[in-house]
Amino acid sequence: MAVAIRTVGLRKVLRAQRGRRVAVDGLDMEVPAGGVHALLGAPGAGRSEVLRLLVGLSRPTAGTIELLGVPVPSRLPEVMPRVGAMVEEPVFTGSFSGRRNLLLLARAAGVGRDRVDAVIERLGLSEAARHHFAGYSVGERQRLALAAALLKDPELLLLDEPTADLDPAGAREVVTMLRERGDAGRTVLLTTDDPALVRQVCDSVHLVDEGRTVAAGSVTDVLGEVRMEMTAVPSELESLLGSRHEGTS
Amino acid sequence: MRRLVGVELARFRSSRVVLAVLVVAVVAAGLFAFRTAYDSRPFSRAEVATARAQASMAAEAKRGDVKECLADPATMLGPGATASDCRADLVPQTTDFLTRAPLRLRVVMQNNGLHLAVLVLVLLVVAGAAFAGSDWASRSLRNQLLAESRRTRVWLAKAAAVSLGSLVIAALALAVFWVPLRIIAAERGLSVTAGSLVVWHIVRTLVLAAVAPVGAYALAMLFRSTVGAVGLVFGVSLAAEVLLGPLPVRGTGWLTPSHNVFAWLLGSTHYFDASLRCGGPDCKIRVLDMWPAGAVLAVVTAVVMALSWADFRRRDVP
Repeated sequence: MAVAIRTVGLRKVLRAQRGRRVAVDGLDMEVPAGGVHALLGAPGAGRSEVLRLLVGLSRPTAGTIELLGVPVPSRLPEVMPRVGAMVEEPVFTGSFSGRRNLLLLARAAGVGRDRVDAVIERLGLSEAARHHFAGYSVGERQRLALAAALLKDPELLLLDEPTADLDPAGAREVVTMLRERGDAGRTVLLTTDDPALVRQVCDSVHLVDEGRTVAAGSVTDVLGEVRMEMTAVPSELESLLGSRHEGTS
Repeated sequence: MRRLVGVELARFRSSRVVLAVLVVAVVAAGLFAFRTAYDSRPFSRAEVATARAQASMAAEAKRGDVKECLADPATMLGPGATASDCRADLVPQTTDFLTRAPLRLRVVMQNNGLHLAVLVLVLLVVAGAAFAGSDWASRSLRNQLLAESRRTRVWLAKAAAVSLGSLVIAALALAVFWVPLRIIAAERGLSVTAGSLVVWHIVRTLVLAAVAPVGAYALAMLFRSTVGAVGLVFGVSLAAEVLLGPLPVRGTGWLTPSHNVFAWLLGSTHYFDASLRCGGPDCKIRVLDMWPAGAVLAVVTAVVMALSWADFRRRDVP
């Protein structure tokens, strides 16, 4: 089985206001190539920090990372043209239009204008892309960030809470798009605290807590077959984590 | 790399701070040029007539003194004085009442030309720091690094954009100031022999305008803050002598940033070095030439750039 992402003993210690905080604590993770995969955990579990480490925004304190078979961060520039990412909240230049922001990112990445127009249309931003980013709604910001992540039409797509600020219709569109990419043989790794989203779109899941893998495997193996309602999400995640901790203690 | 520089130049010229700096620099240059030309305008006939009348009245008032002097020049003006000295020294001339100096490019360079150069440099330093600071404040650098992960290239492309953009702004401002003055001087039939001196002053100003904002940009990348970088640059510039004073080394005046900037812009400068221990106040006046001054500025900028680049390569990006 080809592996898109592999981390071994990944550790990240952050400087906090009072001393240091371990954000990622010896994370071992293998994400198979192709399909949609999730990093599921409660807020503060270290999900975003893992994505930051994968794309080189943050340097690991210890451990190794491979993206598409290439070790990072030492050879990050080799692999980044094949990787798209949306990490944490969407940030762009407020005084530029959405389209201008994307055009500049595309030019920096060596991507053509036609691709910019394609992702703008794919994310339903044709009208909004003409306006300044500063005036965007939260949902539009999220869509623009997704569009930026898709600019390179990447083999590996890393998304931090891709549906977090979208309305239900927008979230459904994104879920469909991710599933299509997964089915087309591309790899998507998303982070979320929502088990329902994982059940809806993912093939496999890593359950993380306090920067460590608590469980990993197919969605059914890790989350069980019980279909939970969206409103039950926080309590489901809590009970999942609780049962896993009990199992390991 | 050229592609990245193009992207950063587009971002630089679209920045509101940069736009404001461009407008202020060009408007200030225009006002400085107008003021310089106006303050050195030729005398009108009315002004000459008034001056003649004033000279005539003053001569009338001095008639007694002149008569007394002519009778005994040596007593009034000192040994060896002659009657012609009495007329030269005591008889008021029309020119004594026409005090406005004509347009001399060399003098302009040392006054309004220098003031404009310093103003433009200050504005460009703010623009350079703000360009980097806004990336950190908005956290948009994260997206930029996702598009181009080679941090050295990103750092260099931004530095190149700051340098080129600043050079263009400075060139525009200096052109708005010097071109009309050169034309006006020629039209007034005045000597423009100081031309090469002024040209070299402009060249040195442009060199500094291309380098100093990069230093400010590098500091802002290091501190990840516009305020921190601008505060440090101007704080050190203004308080350098106070900061250098307690050092146990004498003769540290040449390290003061403002002395080096003035020496570089003017070719050389005189400065008072309070840290020297010597006889009278005259011995504390030192001359600083442009090459040592340029070397100091270059070394300081290079060190800041190296620190900034090394830091940006390694540190986590929020």
